Amino acid sequence: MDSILNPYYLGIVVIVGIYVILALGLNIVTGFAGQVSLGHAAFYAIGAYTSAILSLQGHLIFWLALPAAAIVTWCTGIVLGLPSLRVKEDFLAIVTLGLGLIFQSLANNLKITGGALGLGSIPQPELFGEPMSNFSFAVMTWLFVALAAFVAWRALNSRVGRAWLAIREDELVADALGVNTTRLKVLAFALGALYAGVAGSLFAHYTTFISADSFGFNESATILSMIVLGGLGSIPGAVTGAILLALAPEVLRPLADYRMLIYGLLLVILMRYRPQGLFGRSKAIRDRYAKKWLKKGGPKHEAAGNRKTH
Amino acid sequence: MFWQQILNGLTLGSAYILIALGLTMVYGILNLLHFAHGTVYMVGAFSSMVAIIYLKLPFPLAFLLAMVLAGLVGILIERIAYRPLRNAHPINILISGIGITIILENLFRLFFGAQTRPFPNVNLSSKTYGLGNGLSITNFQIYILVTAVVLVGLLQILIKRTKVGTALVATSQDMKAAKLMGIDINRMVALTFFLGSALAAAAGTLVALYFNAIYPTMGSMPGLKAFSVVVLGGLGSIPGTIIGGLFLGVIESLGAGYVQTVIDANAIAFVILILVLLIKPTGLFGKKIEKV
Amino acid sequence: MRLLETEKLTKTFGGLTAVSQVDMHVDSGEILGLIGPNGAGKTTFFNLISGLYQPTAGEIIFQNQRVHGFKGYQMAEAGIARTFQNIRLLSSLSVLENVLLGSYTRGKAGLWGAILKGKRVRDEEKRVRQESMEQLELVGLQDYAHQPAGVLSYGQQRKLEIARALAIYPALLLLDEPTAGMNAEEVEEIMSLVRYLKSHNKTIVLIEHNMHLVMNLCERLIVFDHGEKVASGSPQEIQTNPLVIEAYLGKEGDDE
Repeated sequence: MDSILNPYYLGIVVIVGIYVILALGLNIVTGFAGQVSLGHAAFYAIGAYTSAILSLQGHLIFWLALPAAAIVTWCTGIVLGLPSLRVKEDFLAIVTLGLGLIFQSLANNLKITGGALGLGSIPQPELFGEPMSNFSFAVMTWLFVALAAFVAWRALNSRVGRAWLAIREDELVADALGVNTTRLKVLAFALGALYAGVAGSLFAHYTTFISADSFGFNESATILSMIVLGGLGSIPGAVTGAILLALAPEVLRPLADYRMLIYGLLLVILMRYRPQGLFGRSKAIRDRYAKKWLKKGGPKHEAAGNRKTH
Repeated sequence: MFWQQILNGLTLGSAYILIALGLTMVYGILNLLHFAHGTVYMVGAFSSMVAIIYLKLPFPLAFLLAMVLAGLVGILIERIAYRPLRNAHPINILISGIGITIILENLFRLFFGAQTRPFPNVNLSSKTYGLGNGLSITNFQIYILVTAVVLVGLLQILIKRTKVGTALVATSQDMKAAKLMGIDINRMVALTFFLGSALAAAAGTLVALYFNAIYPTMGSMPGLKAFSVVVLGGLGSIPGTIIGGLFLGVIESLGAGYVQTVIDANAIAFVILILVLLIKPTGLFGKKIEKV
Repeated sequence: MRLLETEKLTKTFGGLTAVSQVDMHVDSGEILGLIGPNGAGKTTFFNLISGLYQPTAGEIIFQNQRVHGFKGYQMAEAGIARTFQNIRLLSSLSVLENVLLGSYTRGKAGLWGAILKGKRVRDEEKRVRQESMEQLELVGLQDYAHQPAGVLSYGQQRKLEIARALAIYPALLLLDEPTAGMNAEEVEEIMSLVRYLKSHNKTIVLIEHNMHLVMNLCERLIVFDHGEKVASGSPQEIQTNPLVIEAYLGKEGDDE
């Protein structure tokens, strides 16, 4: 029993769970609502720092610091989403990339975040007056994962979720159907941020030490890779993608120095041979359908329709 | 002090322009955010270093060789990471580029180690020239400024005065029409990657010389910042990129010199970018697009 | 009763004037046809009154309310629904989901409501699903409800777009070339659908090139050419109007 539950493995279980929550959150923004974010790690950082600072300086217990971090990231998501989401597609990708770098840089320089030294001695959560064991922390993390997946699923299969998909597929049509696209995009952004806030809080109180290095562009890119690998917009996909990519560095550990090289190769190969991701609806199938009705005479018939005017 | 910061900013801006032009040209022709571009800058710096140390080439030749090598690497990247995905979702292309970045950075780390190396000795020592009023410029700064002017000038001549240039412009304006006119699209795309990568290599070499530092991840921050230059300039506009680069260089230099920083100089670029996009969501020189 | 009115409605793109000083009105319960050669500004006009474009100048008055500066979603909320000339379905979503989206403005469930999924939200979801199925039955696509919209035939896709627009329960329905690309049988189906909607007091404005349909369905026609309204009147009046024959039919000949 001890061997399976040793701190090393439990640590991996916790970290993987945290990544699953991050991926589920970004999947709402990018997968459901179609808004590419390259700065998701900013919200992860805000959650982690908020939770850490509230515990260290406000002496708040973990069980209050975590929801506080969630609320703060939700609000930050709205505040940052409102201006950012005015720009589209490639512009948005770069703006969110910028937001990520700005927040990392703030964390690196501000006094309250401990500057480049980061914040240490973040208290571990207590349960019934006892410090939580690694095992109970892992269980708690995965309970949050389950909750996160459930909430994402409920949100997706609702009026709001359908509006998100409409924005993703064709923003103009969504607009014409009465969807306030700005509002809905900000909503997705805020919910994704909230997920990252929860993940950040868990991370801070698990590792008990955070610094700006943990929240850079690489982190954002990794989370994005997870949901693309799983299949954009798919909840099981986000979970699977996050588990696979979070485990990859561990599994590839014996390859030592070649580990990251292979990771990069994997990304390139996957994008080439399975761009729709593991759980994604294959574009090839969609194209085949598209061809089928085109053959039935999309443009051809249109010309015929025009000629009827004579 | 103020004018000194402006001068330093223009130098910095010239380097940004050299990196960002490649991104602009690639975006212009393929509408693609080339995330591996920063690593090409790194490849350029390392190529110069290798050419100087192992091939014993004089600096100018090493510099040119690095541009050619990096240009070829650029072509290769397009072949491997982007061409197979030409009709894929932009996010796929983005991640493919990130994958290439990880591969290249780690290849160079395996070969050369992760540590920062000094630029090899090329019998160029830093000299400072006084310009009066306390203003001064170093010879390295002059190299960067002059190289940027020359290379941008050459690029303009190539684009405006040659047949290949005309074909390139035609392709980036309307790929289908260009194809119908018998232009080999893939060759134009390859040429774009070659030119852009060569310019990035020039910047990589000069900046490595200026800061006397070469390391495998040296391209990541300049690569990301170049994106903010490109977006500032309105995505895909060469004149926009040039002005965006100078603007950013100067602001960054002034910001770092005057403002008691709460953020790194690196992040200033993005603060500016976001402020500009707040006012004008399509960048300084972007056109307003309305389509149904 | 006036449902919609435009006053000197104008839209320019750069130096190009796509819609120029158009005065028109739509009365409740009528079927109005917009005709004119390709590029005459009909679709741009639709885009203006559905809020997808903002007018350069002029006014739009809908149900006695100035709707100047309304965005697309606000026009939809106000009760204007439309279809698109180049069918714009969400092809990876199911047929039913497409219609459900049309009912967006009639729902209230927000994000937290959807997550908690209380009785009110469940009831609402049940209701809009039922109503969406009714829209599908109206256009005869109920059997395809759970197929992805992309698998439908061209004609079926056009009908689905109409069902989706109807799900808004619009006061005004804008149909942009509803029969383009359809065979004769499908055109008849669309015609009887439009008649059915009229009998249920729907107000419809349609852009159409099929003269058989236009002359038989529309009570009133407006002719566009070069962004301007060049004539209006009953189908009979339009058919004999020399200006129309010259501007419209003459131009059409050039196109081919």
